[in-house]
Amino acid sequence: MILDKKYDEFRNIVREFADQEVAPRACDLDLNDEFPWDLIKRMAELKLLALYVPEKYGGAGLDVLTYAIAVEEIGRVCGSTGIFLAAHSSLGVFPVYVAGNEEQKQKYLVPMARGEKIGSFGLTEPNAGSDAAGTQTTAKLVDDHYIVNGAKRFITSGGVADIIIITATKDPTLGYGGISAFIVEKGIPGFTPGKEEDKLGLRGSITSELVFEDCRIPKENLLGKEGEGFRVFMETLDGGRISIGALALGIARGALDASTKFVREHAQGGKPLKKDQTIQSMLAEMATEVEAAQLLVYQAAMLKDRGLPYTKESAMAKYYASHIGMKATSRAIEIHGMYGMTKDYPVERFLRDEKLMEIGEGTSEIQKIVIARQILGK
Amino acid sequence: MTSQTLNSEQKIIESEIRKFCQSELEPVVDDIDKSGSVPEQIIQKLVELGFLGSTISEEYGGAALDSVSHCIVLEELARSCASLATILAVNNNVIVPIIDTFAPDALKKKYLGLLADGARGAYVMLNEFDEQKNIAVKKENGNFTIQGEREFVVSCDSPKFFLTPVENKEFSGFFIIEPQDSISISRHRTLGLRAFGMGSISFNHVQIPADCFTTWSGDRTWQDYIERSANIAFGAVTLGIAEAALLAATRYSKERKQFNRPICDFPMVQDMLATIKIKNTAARSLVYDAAQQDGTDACIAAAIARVVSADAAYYAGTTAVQVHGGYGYTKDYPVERFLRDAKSLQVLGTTSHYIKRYIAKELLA
Repeated sequence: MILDKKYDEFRNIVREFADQEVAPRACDLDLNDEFPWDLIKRMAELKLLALYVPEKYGGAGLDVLTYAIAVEEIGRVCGSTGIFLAAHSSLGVFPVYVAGNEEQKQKYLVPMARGEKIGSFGLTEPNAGSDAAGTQTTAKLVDDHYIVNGAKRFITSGGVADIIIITATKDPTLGYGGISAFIVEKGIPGFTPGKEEDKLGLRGSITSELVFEDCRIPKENLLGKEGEGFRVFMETLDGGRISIGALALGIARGALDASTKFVREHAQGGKPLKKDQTIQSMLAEMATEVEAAQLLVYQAAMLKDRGLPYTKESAMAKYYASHIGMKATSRAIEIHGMYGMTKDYPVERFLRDEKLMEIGEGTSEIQKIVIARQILGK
Repeated sequence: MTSQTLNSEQKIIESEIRKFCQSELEPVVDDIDKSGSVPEQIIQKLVELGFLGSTISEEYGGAALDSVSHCIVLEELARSCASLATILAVNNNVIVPIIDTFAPDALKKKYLGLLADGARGAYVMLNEFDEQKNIAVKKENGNFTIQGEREFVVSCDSPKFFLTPVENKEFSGFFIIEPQDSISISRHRTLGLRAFGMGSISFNHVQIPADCFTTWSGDRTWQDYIERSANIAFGAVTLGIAEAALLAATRYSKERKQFNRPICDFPMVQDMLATIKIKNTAARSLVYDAAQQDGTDACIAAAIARVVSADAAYYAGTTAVQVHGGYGYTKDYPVERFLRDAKSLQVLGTTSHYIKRYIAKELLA
């Protein structure tokens, strides 16, 4: 896609960082379940953690398209580092940026944007996944504190986050109207991160349970107004889908790049793989689909940057990029033959990482429902 | 094959292997995947049941199971543990047919006898790509010396011998080499089939007596002889994964509630389950049909069965994870293992695009 020169320049900077600093760590992060503290520090130095947030709040003052490019480029070499960036920027930073008052922005947004604090988003519960409005975590206002009880699950960076935006309802029978959003700080009484998930992929990212037992959240940590939680998280997820689309795209691109390299360097029975028409056909399909996914992801980002509706387009971007991403990573393994199933090559990691893109922040099935609703009306 | 069409002997085998899987295998299957090895007592139990050298003829002490019965064993085992089923498939459907078809009587007697007693043979694969490291074979004073490395040896945990095919200008045949200090193995870490035992192998001036080498013979290539048997076996293994994934997805979809109802109420979920079922049913017919065929068409039938069944297993694995959502992405449920194992079996030894090339070649011949 033809973009303004400034985006190409930015991409080159991130790509250099990804290739030189992230890529050499990616295999170890995955094998050793290692959280990339060092890379997060570097991303903070490079101002990658809040690209679309204005400079006055500690961000880079750029836009969503720039952010999508960053997630794509990091994801191209490491899904775990990519999902950290996506979760921090879209799920930790964004809700405070969009719904926080000035005081909350100064106190929470600024340190997250600068990378001094890690952000996270607690929406999913053991029994509220696709049905996110079915939240059972309760928040009751008693004097000047909300008393929160319940549990969250599958929370990216939950166990290491300093600041977590959670949703809770004043009464589970009220449906989405009862839900509010709150800012939770690590260490407050009654809040403990629970067990960490042992996952198929993204093993360098931390996915945690969060447990709230009579947790006392100060009244001023209500994000937006009471009962506005549903709107906050819908808006957060709309934006989050752009970043998951970008990550799915990046991983697919990684699989394509690895396969291209492999094909260039290998021969079979005296015939170079690159002269093999079947292999050519596979690579051509992968490359075409990766480009198409890129157009969808960038389109959604540009719509958001222009303040135009982008719900449908972000759902399409996430759905399509993760769909072709699974196909690309799966094909990449086949192109590598038996090497593809070993950890000597990155493609099996790409497949394991990519699978989450069809599940997290709304499954592909939910994306299709969102898209259909946009096309058909309610 | 459905239970209705099995004969009484096959039904007994099915119920025996099911009982074994439920009582002995299922409780340890997560540990097998995590630790990357199958406990010896599990293997021994299979030996006792007569399933390890099950395709070996009675003359050499084997159970001489018919092809359908053997597929039942592989499918049932793979429903619980694809790594173990794949070990059996390599033993019974790659190593046994090579020895049985080509080796002289003395070797047959010795090695088929060992396999019938429960020994495992490792298979040292030929190179897939030209750039891979290879072994050099020298013949001096009637004996052979092997030096070098091969990238892939499979079923390599405590084997009694290494079956090593060689294809070069000077030598075309296979060695049977017993373990010795001058052979070392380094295990690969793999996406799936983690307890199957995949490694690279290094031969450091390994001396081999002349009678351990057998030249290929026959009017077809040696691969043609074994591929039918291997393709059917891997077809049966992948079918087992596909069925296990369908069962898991169906069960979970009935238990998991969202929007105040079980997710199996949603048409999109039903569509996923039905699509798995369609693919599995096609794979089942093809695998068991191929198992009963003879003659030249049997090779094509086996190739088709393997492609369809491997694709069905991968689809079932990835779709079962999808039905489980976030839970499916974790090791709390077995479906992520089904996905990993199925994808690994799609590239083990060969891939669909090469099998398709073979099918086309036969079509056009």
